[in-house]
Amino acid sequence: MQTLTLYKKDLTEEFLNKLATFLNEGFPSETQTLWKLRFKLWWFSNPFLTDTTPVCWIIEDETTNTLIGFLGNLMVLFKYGNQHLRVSDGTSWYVAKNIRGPETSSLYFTFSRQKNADVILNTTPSSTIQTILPTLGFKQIGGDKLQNYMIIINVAKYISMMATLLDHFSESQSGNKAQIFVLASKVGNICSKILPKRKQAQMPAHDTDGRYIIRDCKNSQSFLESLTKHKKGNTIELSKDKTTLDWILFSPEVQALLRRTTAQIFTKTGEYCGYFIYDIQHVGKDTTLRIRELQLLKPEDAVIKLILKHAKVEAKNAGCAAVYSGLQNPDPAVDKLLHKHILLSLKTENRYYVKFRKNVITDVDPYSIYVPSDLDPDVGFI
Amino acid sequence: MTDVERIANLFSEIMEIPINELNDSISYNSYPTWDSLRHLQLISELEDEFNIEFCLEDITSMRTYKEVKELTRKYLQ
Repeated sequence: MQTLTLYKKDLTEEFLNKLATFLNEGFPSETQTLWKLRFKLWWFSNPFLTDTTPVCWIIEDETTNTLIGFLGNLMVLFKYGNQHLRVSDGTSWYVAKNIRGPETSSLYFTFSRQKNADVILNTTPSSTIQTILPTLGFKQIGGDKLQNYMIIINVAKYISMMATLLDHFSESQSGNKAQIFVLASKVGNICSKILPKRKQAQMPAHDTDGRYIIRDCKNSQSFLESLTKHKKGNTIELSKDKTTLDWILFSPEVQALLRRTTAQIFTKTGEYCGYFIYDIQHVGKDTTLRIRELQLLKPEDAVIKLILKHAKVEAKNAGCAAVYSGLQNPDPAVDKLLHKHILLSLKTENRYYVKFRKNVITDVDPYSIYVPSDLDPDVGFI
Repeated sequence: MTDVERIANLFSEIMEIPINELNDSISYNSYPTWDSLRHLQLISELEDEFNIEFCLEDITSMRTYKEVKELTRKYLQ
């Protein structure tokens, strides 16, 4: 067994096919096609990936030339005042089930010790890994729990999606818990098949309520202009420079994987009010509309109502099971309004962990001014 | 406290093995608690405790409690 660091030059078509097959074994609900779309977004369209930046680390059985372990690397830029921070996120860590030994730890150590990064992120750890992250020097950002809001668009699809998720969870559990998940998954599958199909209703206009108008933003330039109107504190957060926005909001690769929309809200007289960003995202064989950022200059009930109406219609048109929003670090006023208009809400575990390299930021505790977003890797890239 | 005692204390705490049951033949996967995650934790805490940084080869070579002690002490000489 050997641990290898791979670079962009190593990403041959043959290797990517092999990797997609391997990851499909590790994450059965995620198809090889989906993995290939991810590789394009993570590595081929990433403007911050240099020839010397690792794209991933693998463990290979050199005798059989077989992949047995993988940890992907997502490199993005964050900003603290005028200082750029190179941020590396580890994604999709998987080691073949029959391989268990100290060698499997090598992936994590090569990732966390890379010299290219100022900050290391882990935003989707499994619950087991989550328990050891603090001992590895990571700090959880944003408290233990996240408030999630959900609007079910299609009951049958929603149940089917939950059934898939439960089926997937059961594989990682044992004993009674696994049996409960398996049972719930089966019941869900049956329910989703016997529920009558609802006719598609004619939806009212969803981009205006007479007072406010929602417009899709088509390029980074117009978005950058509106971003300057939002107040910025002394924070550390994802850099929203033109290069980053062209990649994470408007590139063909992000559209192919996440069908990401950046929408702006204006008054009838053309005054800018705010923006929201959402994805039409795959969850197993189903899809959801996921709101990833929502920023308003002045939170107002009517604006939130219009955004939700817009999201529901877009979700319905895209055949989504549900509209979902689990905003990181929401404006409390926006959060209150979402809570008022969305009945289904639940708290889930926050899994956002950060580790700053020593002496990267010296004038302030970097963890205290860190602002997470649902657009950050890898949660915003998968 | 000697270096070996500090290693023993850490190992015992992380692997949840009573200190009086520690012996050189304890090996990776011979105790259900010594899995890849605990291995990560062990390495990380040994590095913090002794202010050292193991090389990758040594991290993957630690397969027994005896090797944990020997390889750690190599960095302390």
